Amino acid sequence: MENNKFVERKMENKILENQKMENKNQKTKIRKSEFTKAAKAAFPHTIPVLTGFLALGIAYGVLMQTKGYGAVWSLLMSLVAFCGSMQFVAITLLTTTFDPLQALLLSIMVNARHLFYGISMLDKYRGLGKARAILIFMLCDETFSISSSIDPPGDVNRKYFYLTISVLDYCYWSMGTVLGAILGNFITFNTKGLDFALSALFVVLFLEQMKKKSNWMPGAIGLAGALISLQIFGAENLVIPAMLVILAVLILGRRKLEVKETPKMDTGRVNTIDGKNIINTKGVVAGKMIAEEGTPTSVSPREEREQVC
Amino acid sequence: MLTPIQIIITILAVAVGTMITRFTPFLLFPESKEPPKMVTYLGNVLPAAMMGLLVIYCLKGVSVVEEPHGLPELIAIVAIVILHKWKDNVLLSIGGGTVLYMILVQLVFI
Repeated sequence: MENNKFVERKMENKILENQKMENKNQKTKIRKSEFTKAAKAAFPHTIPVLTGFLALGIAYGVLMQTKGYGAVWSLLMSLVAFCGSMQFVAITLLTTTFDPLQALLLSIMVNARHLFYGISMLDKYRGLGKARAILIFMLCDETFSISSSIDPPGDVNRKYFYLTISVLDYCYWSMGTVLGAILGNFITFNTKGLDFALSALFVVLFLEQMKKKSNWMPGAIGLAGALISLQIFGAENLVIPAMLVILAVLILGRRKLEVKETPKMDTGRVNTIDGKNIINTKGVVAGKMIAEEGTPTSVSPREEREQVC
Repeated sequence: MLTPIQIIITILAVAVGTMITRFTPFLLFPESKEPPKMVTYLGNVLPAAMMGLLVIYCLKGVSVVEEPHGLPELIAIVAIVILHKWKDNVLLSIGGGTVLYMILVQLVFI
């Protein structure tokens, strides 16, 4: 009797364990399919970065090579620091006397614009758990411009969508720098002008931002602030003064700019459960109510969402 | 030429500087707390403004005074804007603009 019970219990345990395993397997399966779906949705957006980063990365690798730094150093810099334009500046740091403090300060100044990227992405990267640290680590100009301008489609896992963009861009750049260092001298077709892909990316994503009327003024402020700063401080020192001018105008103009923001604030909010996008139904209702009350500029929230997507 | 240790320290210094600029906003305004309204507002308006800044930033090296007076860039950007208004396809606009620019700088404005 006792023995029988023992065997029974063992069997039960086994069945339970099997069920657990099955559950686990199913979960990983679901996660896998969700990831594939998000990756498929995200990959096309990164193609321009692929071309641009390969071109620029190769240029960087070749340049490092000519200064006596081979593929390993280029790759190490790209993997650890991952900061495009600053890496070009860092070549001069590597070819003069050793001064890590200057390297640190220069890096903070050249990369100061990332501060604003972070502020812009606070909301979008909210609630993504451990992935958030990776996303922040990889938040370069190009990744920021894609992730801030393009919303993941409604049925796509938000975390995986942003991760795909970030990781792909990171890989493109690292690959490019290594390729440049190894076979830069063998490239025979004329690549002059290929790096314009990144300028084109910024122009197009600027146009994407301009699809929202509420973005017209901030966009104009950004252009004007940068142009003025370029005129006064020159090409080498344009970023920080431009950031300060833009910040000042945006803060001073808050009341005017924010009124137009109201519909967006209600609709743009996205609730997150398990990193998925769920349109905030309350927000939609609230937005509609505002529209019915007759704010002249407000677009129906759903329409606006579609426009953005 | 720096020694390998010096090179690694320099790379780390550059990396730490970059990461300070990337992580600071997220450390200042952690998820557990609702950020100040001003920060939320800036988060809404900054992307468009920074995209404007990036457009100028990537064109900063273009000289209007010297030959070819920034014409390749201007033509390519006008083409991108028209193409994007017409077809509204991100990849097509970027690809078309880049190819046109390459043709311009390699064959037309040499």
